[in-house]
Amino acid sequence: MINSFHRWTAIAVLALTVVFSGFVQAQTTTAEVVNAADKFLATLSAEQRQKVSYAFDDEQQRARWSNLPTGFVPRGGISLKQMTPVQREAAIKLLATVLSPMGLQKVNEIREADDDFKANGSRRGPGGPGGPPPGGPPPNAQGGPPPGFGRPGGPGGGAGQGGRPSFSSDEMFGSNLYYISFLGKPSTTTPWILQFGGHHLALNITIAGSRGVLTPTLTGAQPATFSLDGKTVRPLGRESDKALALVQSLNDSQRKQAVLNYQIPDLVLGPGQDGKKIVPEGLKASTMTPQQQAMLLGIVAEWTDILNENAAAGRMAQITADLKETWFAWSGPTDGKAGSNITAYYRIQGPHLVIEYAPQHDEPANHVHTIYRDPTNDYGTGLTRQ
Amino acid sequence: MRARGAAVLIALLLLSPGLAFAHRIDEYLQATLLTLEPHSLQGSIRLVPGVLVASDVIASIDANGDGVISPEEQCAYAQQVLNSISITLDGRVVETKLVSWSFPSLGQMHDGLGEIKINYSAALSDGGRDHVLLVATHNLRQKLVYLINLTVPEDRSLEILSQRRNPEQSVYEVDYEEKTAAYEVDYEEKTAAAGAHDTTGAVVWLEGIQFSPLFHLGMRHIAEGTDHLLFLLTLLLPAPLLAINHRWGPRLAARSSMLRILGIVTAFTIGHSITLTLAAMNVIHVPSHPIEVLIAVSILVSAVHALWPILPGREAWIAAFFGLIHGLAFAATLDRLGVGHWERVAGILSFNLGIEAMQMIVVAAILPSLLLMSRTRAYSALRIVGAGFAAIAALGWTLERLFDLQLPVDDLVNALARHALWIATGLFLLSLLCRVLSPVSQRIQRVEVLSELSAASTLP
Repeated sequence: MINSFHRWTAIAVLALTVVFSGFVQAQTTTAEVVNAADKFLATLSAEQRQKVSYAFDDEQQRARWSNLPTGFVPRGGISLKQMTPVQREAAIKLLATVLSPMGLQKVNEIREADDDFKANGSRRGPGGPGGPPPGGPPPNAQGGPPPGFGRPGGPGGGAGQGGRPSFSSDEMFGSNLYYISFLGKPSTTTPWILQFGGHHLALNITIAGSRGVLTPTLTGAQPATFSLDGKTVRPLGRESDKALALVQSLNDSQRKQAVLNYQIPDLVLGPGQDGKKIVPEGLKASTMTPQQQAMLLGIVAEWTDILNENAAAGRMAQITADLKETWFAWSGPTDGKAGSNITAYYRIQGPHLVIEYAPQHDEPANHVHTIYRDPTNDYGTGLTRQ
Repeated sequence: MRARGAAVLIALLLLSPGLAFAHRIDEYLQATLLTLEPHSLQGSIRLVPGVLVASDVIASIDANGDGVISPEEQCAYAQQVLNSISITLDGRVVETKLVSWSFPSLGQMHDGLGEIKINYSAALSDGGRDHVLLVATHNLRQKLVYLINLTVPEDRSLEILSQRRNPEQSVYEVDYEEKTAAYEVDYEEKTAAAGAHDTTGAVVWLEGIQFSPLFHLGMRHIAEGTDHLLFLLTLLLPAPLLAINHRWGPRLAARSSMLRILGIVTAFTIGHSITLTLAAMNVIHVPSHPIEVLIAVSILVSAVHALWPILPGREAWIAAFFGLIHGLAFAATLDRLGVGHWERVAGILSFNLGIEAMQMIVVAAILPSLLLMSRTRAYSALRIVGAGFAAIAALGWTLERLFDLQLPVDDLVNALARHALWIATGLFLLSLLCRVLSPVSQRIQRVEVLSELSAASTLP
């Protein structure tokens, strides 16, 4: 009697373990992320902690991201530069937990590009790299503010109450000018948002229970190719190479549909364009070969896989299910070869997806902005509404 | 401090021309998102002046140069931007209205970061199922780069069929369908009759060909401008015939007929080229309303002429004269596109070539049938039916355009035009049949000498 009771208990426990193991596994990752976040927050002073914490539904802070240097568009939160080494280490540990290794590498390379930009400026200039940009007052420059255009009455837009930094290159560029902030309290159950960003980077990661949402996220780089410790670094190189391979794999009639006849000078749904859906154009993935479809998903993975594996997996399943309604559009030259950045714009768009890759007109192959969105789920609104 | 930031930025730019980061430098970006609803259009424009054009843009806004952008100056500039945009729905001008606008601080603008936001709306007249909306933007004082996109309509009765743009995106055109209950039945019939409904029609089978946008537009204009085509076709109807005693009599020899048709088409071309060029170069300017009325009248004249020869042997002159009027209407189309002055000469040329190409295609499609059938008795039936139809359509258009009425003329003519390919094919088969069935004696009847003489006199 007692024996059989024990047996049944053992079976029941086993069954429950099996049933919940998937759940527990997912929960573990969220718990790890929350743990890392709490550890980071614990290193902060009360004042710093207050500075990085916002309400979950703070619309202004949600939208306070940009491709621009932080000197121009101040972000919320505190920067790596303002942290002690211990705090910085905890911040990086948090990023390493919430991001995949690939995602962390991408973020680091984007930051390194900013270091390179700070050190070398643009390499297109006459006479090669011209040292760090000077920070002093300008000569009497043409196009400068005409007399009488002193700035009237205080900063507009409420951007820089905390004092707008002066514009020396030290305070404009560099891998330490990236800011971290939290909307809502890190939790394994109630939703919260982790933001990390600066020049050419804006990660908006919504965590709701076991699910993670990376949209909207902006990545970018200038220089988009540089060398560091003797190695060539291309922070968004695979985004360029994979898309080029796809467009070059298209046959004539596919290409005719995919390649648009007009120029696209910038991101259509860049910062500030949350939740908007535009009529898709280009080539529908349903008319692609299975191999081309796989290539398309491979491009998308460069964005979805920035997030850690567990959160990214569900997202890829959703995008794969949408594949028939997904479009690929290209604007610009289709020649070129893997290893050097494209100068063309491309867009991948589906019911739950917008990806745009937009080379910038000042240095098309060496300066790029990208955006990754889910118009139905920017900041996890689709999840948290339920 | 912002002004200082801008100044530093400009210094950086001057020291190293390639040194630039993250935002616009010497361009003025105009990004538009259009939102379409069943009876209205909303446009939201973001204008972002690059740091090097910012001062110039600010100077355009600050009209009195006092260093302050007053609410009046904001409103005036928003209106100026709106005036640079012309919108047509199905070829008719759509009035736009400013809804709201906001301007960044001068400091932000100097930094090249300011976004001017302008929202406008436009009422779209209802009626009809298929629509073409065209949004064309003229340059402001500064060099603009454009983005223009349409948001996915929330209203499910609107279906976007296709979008077209010129390479700069300053001219944007969208075809859409408005599915209301009333049109649903009509739609079923059409698709049943025509197979896949958007694979027919003279326009569509040419759509695969990529031309200069203006060439393309010229072709579309003549293909969709059913009134222009109807005029030309009606004028061609009696071309293979000889007028005797104020009645249409026997046919001309094939060669004379061909020459006469060629003469008519050429004369029409010369006529509309003259006025199109003059109007596009701003030498003449005629309001479009009376022109539209005159075009309807021109069809009526050629229809009456096809029934009873009122101006026998002078078809080429009629074509040339009314060509002058049709040219003015073409110019209005070109004008709505906001083609800049320096682009005009090339523009007129390609637009005109587009019109010519489409005309030639239509004539080539109809000519064999006319020549074949004119050798049979059935031709007078075709002539009378065709001219009668043209006369009724022309009367309808004249009334519509004179008294601003809404008559179903466009729907009727467009319904036919949509099946142009089938009609042309059917006509050809019919003319073959008539030719085979008609008695031999009738076939040999000729008035060779007279016809040659008369053909010679009609050439311009």
